[in-house]
Amino acid sequence: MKNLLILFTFLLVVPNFGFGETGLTIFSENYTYKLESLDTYTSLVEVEGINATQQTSFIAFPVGELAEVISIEVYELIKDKWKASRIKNEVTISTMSWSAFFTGTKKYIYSIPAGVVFRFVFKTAEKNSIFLTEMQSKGQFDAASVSYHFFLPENLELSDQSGGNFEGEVYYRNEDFKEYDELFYVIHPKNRVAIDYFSEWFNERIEPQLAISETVIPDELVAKYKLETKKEFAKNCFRFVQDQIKYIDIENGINAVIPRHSEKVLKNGMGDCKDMATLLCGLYRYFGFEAYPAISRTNSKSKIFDFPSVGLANHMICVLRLDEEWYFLDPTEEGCLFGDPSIQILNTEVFLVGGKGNYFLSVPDHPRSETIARLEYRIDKETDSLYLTITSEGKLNSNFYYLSLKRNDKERFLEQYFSKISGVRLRLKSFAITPEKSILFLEGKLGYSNYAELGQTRLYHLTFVPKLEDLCLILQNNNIPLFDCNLEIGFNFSGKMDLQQEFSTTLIETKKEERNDIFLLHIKQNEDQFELLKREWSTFLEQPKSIEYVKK
Amino acid sequence: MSKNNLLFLFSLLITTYASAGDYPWPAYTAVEIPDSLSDESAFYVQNITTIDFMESFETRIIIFRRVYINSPEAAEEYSKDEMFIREGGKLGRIAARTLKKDGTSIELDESQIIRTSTIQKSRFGERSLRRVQLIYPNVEVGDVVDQMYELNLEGYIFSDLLYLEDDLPSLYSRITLRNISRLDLTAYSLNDMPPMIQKMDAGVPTISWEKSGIGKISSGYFNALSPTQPAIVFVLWKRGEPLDYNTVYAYDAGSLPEDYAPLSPITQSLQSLGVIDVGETGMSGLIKLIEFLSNDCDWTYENTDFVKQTSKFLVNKQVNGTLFLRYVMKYLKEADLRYEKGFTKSLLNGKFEHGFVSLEQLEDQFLAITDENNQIHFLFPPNHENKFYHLDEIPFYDEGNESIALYGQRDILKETASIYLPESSAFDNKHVVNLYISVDSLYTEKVKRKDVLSGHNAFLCRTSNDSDWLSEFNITKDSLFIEPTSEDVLYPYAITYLQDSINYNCFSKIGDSLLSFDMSNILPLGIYNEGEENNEFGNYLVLPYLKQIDLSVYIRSDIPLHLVDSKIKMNYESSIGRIAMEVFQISENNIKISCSLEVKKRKINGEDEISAYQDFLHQYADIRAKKWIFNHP
Repeated sequence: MKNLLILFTFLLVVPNFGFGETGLTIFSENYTYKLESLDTYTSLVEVEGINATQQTSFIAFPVGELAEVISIEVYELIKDKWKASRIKNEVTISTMSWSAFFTGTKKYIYSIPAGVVFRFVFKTAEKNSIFLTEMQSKGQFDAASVSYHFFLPENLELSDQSGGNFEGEVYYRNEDFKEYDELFYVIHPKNRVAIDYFSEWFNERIEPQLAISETVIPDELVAKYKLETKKEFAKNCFRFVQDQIKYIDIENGINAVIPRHSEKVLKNGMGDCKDMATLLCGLYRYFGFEAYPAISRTNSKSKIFDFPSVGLANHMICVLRLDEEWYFLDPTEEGCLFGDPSIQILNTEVFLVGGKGNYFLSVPDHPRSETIARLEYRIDKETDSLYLTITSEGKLNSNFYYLSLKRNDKERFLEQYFSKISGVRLRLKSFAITPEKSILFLEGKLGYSNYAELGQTRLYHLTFVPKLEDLCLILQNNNIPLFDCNLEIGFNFSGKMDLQQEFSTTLIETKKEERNDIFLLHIKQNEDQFELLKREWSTFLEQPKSIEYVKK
Repeated sequence: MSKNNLLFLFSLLITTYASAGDYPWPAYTAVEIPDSLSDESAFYVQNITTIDFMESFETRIIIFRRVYINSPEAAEEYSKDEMFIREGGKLGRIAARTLKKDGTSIELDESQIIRTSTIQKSRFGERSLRRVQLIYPNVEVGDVVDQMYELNLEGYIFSDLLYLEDDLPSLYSRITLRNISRLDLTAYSLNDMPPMIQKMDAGVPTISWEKSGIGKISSGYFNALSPTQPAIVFVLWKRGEPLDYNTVYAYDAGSLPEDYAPLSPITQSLQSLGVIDVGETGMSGLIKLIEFLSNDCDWTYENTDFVKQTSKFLVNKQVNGTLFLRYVMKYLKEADLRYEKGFTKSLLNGKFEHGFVSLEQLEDQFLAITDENNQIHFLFPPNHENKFYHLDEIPFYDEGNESIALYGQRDILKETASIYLPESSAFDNKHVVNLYISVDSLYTEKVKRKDVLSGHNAFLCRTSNDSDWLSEFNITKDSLFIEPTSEDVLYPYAITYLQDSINYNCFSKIGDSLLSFDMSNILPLGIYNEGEENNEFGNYLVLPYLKQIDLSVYIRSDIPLHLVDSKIKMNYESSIGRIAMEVFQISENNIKISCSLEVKKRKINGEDEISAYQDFLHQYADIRAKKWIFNHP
């Protein structure tokens, strides 16, 4: 079937255009928004520029899923006159992209021949002014001149991030941005506090989705509720949503914004972040907990989420108030322990929908659970065997736990992964993986490259110790550290040794445990510190280690 | 056969959709998972393909797949399944459902079948590519996912190679071909394909093959179809006109005639272009013609279908695969050198089978040219810009396969012959490196390096568009110190590179009196250059080509160096190949390290050999990383 399959699975080959433009010089971008009400407005985008390169370049206009394109006009400057251009027909309209919360967009990508001076006029009609979110000082295309022009009806006003509050006709040009490269804003009814309106808008739409009737509440939760402490029960609700609802990132139409009804999510067994957070909140509220759906940003968005604008957010979680503490619960991260924020929201901010004045909260930068991983190497000189024991706890264990949940061939996967990063073919002899802690035992044979024999002394090349970024990949599912943690690496060469004396740095502590030399590495999320640690550690590993063996 | 018009004649269409809604799903009986499949992430309970050759010049393909979800990973993967349909594919009915463990079923509604598209508009028209996403609710381990869709292609698929094996193992698979067209359908079963079942189904001639318990096919850079792989080849052709090599030859002559301009000799044109000397002909002129086309002509993407315009392209010094063959055939005819048109297929797509005529086997074309001394030479056209072959250079994916050679005049076939395409040995594809390292008392190194690359190594060096391939050999193409110094005119066309005054930082001080010497900066990173690291090894591998590396390192030191490592020799040999490294203390100041590698086996079959190949890769990586320890006063 292989050949035939090619005919109907047809791999998608779409030009890999990014957002914006490549190789073009943009003179001006002008954005005009005319609002009829909070629910209806039109936008007009005018862009002028030149392709001053020697080759065809591309410009991409994003069009939101909820927008309706009214007209697109493209002009070329020919003999000092703007004339309708054939460029209009050189367009690729991309598939809808739901790469982030609230951003279901299509891209209209135009190819512009070399030397052409062009002008685009895009007119769209849109709904829900809550999605009018940000102005960029250099526009979308890094233009020399940028302006944003708003026409507001009498009953509305615009509040921006810098504290500005305007009504009627509002005009922003480059110089009005001051220190902001992006300026966020929200349009709201006159005489209302912007943040209250923002909360209310979402609350009105999410509140009905939270209600769960008694008949559909899962029996297993009802039974546990009677037997468990509040905290233990809250943990089980979290686990229930995390395990029973499959995360599917399909966000079409208004469902890119408003969660599906909790009962539907429960019935289908799947949903996106908003659906899962809403269901969890619905369950908590049903059982009498104080819980809020919370609009959130992940680490992929760098701007601090401290202003009520959806442009600053891309995620949703459930925030639980329990025993006077806030719990930031993201059930989309499989293997995440109750109480730990998911990796993607560590050290970010959330907005509590319906938060009664207490809207913005900071998410901790560190998990609650203990996070430690330990690698212990033991070498048997007589057999040239290498034994490796790996212990991981807390959030450093979540990737092992995820693998154990997902893969039938987890033994093979782990064996291949550790063999690859060690350069030694390792066999997984046994392992135990639980949500909180894992232990793995691996065994292999040293190769020619691992040591040199100098009489009774061996010079070991520690090439079998993986790079720190490879360890981060298996422990944190990312090759850079996602949070601060400790990593202990121990060596036992079954010979006379003292490795610590050779090595001591500000970032690496050494200690001795019976026959083991232990190196304690404090892995910092801070990029500079991690780079320094990598350098210090590789300096230690690069130097062969001399181990003396007593003649038998 | 890609240069030929025969293969696939389906054209482009606008895509439309219709939902099956009440599709009559086949009954499902719960399955017991065989032990052999318990580790599989998912498998087909049924995998059924029906291909209808319609009366209306259309091909309809109906797929029904019943997938058992055997892991959470598969549950996740199948929760959101998607397919892409290029224009030319008209999606007919589509239906999908989840069969739950408890016997209930959840049929996908329209909101769970999401369609989006990419539309490309230009002044020449509009093209679209559509994505269909199937969102299966609540898929869990133990569930079964049913999927059925129908794809209508305008035009016929005239020939193809089909397998019951697919990307997942299957408890039951079936392929059915139904011929409603006015053409004749011929099918061949290869190897141990189950018996062909032929019948008339409601007046429609129908052929099918079915089997229970089928493995999966792995595909990848090295993964190939085993010569023993059961397969079906079908051919759809005009009624009353058998598809034989006479027909193939006649059709091929339409695009590639022996003389595209009988009144205008190419020999004269080449003389006026200064390619060949006046009166020059025969093989020496042919070699000059190939060089001219390879080095002095521009690659053209223009339409070259019109044979009569070929002369214009030659005058403009333009070439592509088709033009290359037209020019060469005309020259050969004028030089009175006999040639045959040869056809074969990539070894990765399985063995060329003699005994029947199938278009899918004719994917790669070449010329077999007989010289003045009755020696046969092979000439392959370029398959891409800058990918020209010298005479007798055979693309590595074709070498070692069988082929068919056709000899005729105009469009009349006169003779056929089976030709086994030669296969290069490890000796042909050599990489010889001589490295001279001078070390002074401050441990500063000065390195001279000479690389001689022959056979396929030379082809890859010559045709590589970027320096990646060379950098694998630690040869810097852009370096001022390196340039090809000679290129032998005879196969295997070795290329020599010289590098001067480079520094690999091979030596590092590891103590007061110890130095380590690291070979990893000198030796290539892998045995082959791509596809190994992340490749999922299937059960049958075809390595690109056999190869040999011989590397000698001569170290001349101003200070005395004494090897202190007790192991001075490393050897590894298996059925796949051999690797050896040895260090010689020639004198106090002179050390020699020699390293050799030979890949002896190209076709690697079965679990044991695959495992041996993986061991071989690992051993190479280990030996490559070896650090030699020296003492110095």
